[in-house]
Amino acid sequence: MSSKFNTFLQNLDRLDRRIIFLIIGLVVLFPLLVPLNLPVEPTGLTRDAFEAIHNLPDDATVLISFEYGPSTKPEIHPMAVSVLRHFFARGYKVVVMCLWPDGLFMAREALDEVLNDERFHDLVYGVDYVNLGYRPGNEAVIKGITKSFAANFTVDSKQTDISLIPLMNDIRTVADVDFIFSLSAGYPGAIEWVLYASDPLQIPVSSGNASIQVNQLLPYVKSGQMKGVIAGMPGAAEYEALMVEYGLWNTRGEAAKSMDAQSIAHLVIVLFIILGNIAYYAKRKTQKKY
Amino acid sequence: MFLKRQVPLAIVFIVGVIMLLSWFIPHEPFANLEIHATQWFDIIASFAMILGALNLLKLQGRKVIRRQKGWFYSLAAVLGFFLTLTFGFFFKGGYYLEVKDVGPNAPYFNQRVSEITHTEVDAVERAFTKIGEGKPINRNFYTHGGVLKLYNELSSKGAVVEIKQLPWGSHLQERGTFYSWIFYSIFTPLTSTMFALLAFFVASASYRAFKIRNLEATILLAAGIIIMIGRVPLGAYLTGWLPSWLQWLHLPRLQEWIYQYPNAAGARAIMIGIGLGIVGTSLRVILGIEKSFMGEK
Repeated sequence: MSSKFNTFLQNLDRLDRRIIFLIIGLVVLFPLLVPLNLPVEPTGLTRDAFEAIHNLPDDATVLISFEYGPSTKPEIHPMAVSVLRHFFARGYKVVVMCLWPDGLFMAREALDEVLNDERFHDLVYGVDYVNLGYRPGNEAVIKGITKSFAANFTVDSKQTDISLIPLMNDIRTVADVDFIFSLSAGYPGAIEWVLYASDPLQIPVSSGNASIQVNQLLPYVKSGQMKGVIAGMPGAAEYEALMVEYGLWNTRGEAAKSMDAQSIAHLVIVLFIILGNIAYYAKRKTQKKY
Repeated sequence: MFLKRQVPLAIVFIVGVIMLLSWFIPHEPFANLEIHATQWFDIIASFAMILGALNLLKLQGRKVIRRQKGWFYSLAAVLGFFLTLTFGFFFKGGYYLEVKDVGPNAPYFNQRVSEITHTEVDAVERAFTKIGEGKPINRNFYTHGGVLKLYNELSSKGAVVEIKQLPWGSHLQERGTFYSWIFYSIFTPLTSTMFALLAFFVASASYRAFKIRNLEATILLAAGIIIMIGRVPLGAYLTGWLPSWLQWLHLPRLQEWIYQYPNAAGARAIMIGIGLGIVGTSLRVILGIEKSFMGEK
């Protein structure tokens, strides 16, 4: 190996981080401008979550809880939209609630986006779905609704008395819902739903999470306490693919489009790791020599 | 000393034991204790929030007054606090029009409402076919002056409309209110930017830190690369050509195996450890051995 090349490799170890930032910026931007349409292959975890929802009885009532904010919106919002579409397409009654204050906005946006589709124009607020809004108290709220919804949610997000909402007449506690779905980016979130509602009352639960959280949830999935999990943006893209596979939707969603950018970004990070190791070895070899 | 020490310890002991017992006794009065406990928690948490807010003002305010290092960040925190408080409790905005009758000039009404709500004219027409006792136009205005212009415009074309304002509470999530303006125009871009920066730092940190120094580091690196590539569609694309007898090397399969077995085992071990730790700490608190909640060591 020529000494010039060796020096070049050693210098790589001191590569200015701004160059790395610039390269990452460009490789993320490129697929967003020119979509690559890479195929999405659903994994078992996402399929389990999808099928658990899909196989509920036709007259099921489901509870969906929003526990994320704008920072994790790109990862979790596409799955919120897909899961809500799935619920409405199957004809389930949907109860929305939030354990995070920002979740209120996320829930509102997701509902608006889904209900904007003409397939769901006939759905009536208070009869087919309701948004109970945010309540502070973290897991105390979950524990509270295992005993009484009315004690914890006196009004919905529009300030309508809960006793005047027809859908809530049949739902006294969380035990009256057939399925819980938590869209979670941290605490309180999916784990609290398993611990305080799903497990004690034996209500099936599944969850859509930020990628970084999935490690903590896998023990619950493996033990059967949680019915699959939608893991980050890849999971959201897989859920969108399953919606198309089951004929519930007909186009690639936002997550699938974003996966092109994430694919290339991951590839570039791996290339950086390889390059970093080559530089590390070149440097170590030279140090050994002297 | 008795009130400061023995009384709190006694309260913690009695409440802790009762709550523990209530889990095992499904009869009154224990059965409904959880409802009361969660409501007590809400009340206490509300006071804690007030204390937290006062503490924030005290700490950040002191920094501003004394012009300590970075005092302008503290000023931003204090201003942000008061701005949010003001828009949450005092000025809500959220003016809208409720339509009682579209009037004789329906095409004009549909066209104009379609423009301001960014919806198709057909959808507006469908929505306002059955009005009932009144139907809101799905567009909120920050000020009374803003909604008044539209009111005058539609009224002059014969529509019967009424100016209304969102009730307190519901204004928190509706667009066209000052609180949602803070959320969408300040909070959202700030938190999104902070989170988005992670991609750049992860790339830079991976380049510098992920080195094959020993066997453990090599295993970690290999697992990391398989997860990173296997989790994205590119992984399936790169190894999609593998023959059936080599399907176990298909990257999405490999990453799922890592996720579901070695990773789940590690996570489980950590969780069991945390669980035992919680049991131990809770017992120490209930029995008065752990007193850090009273400010003691």
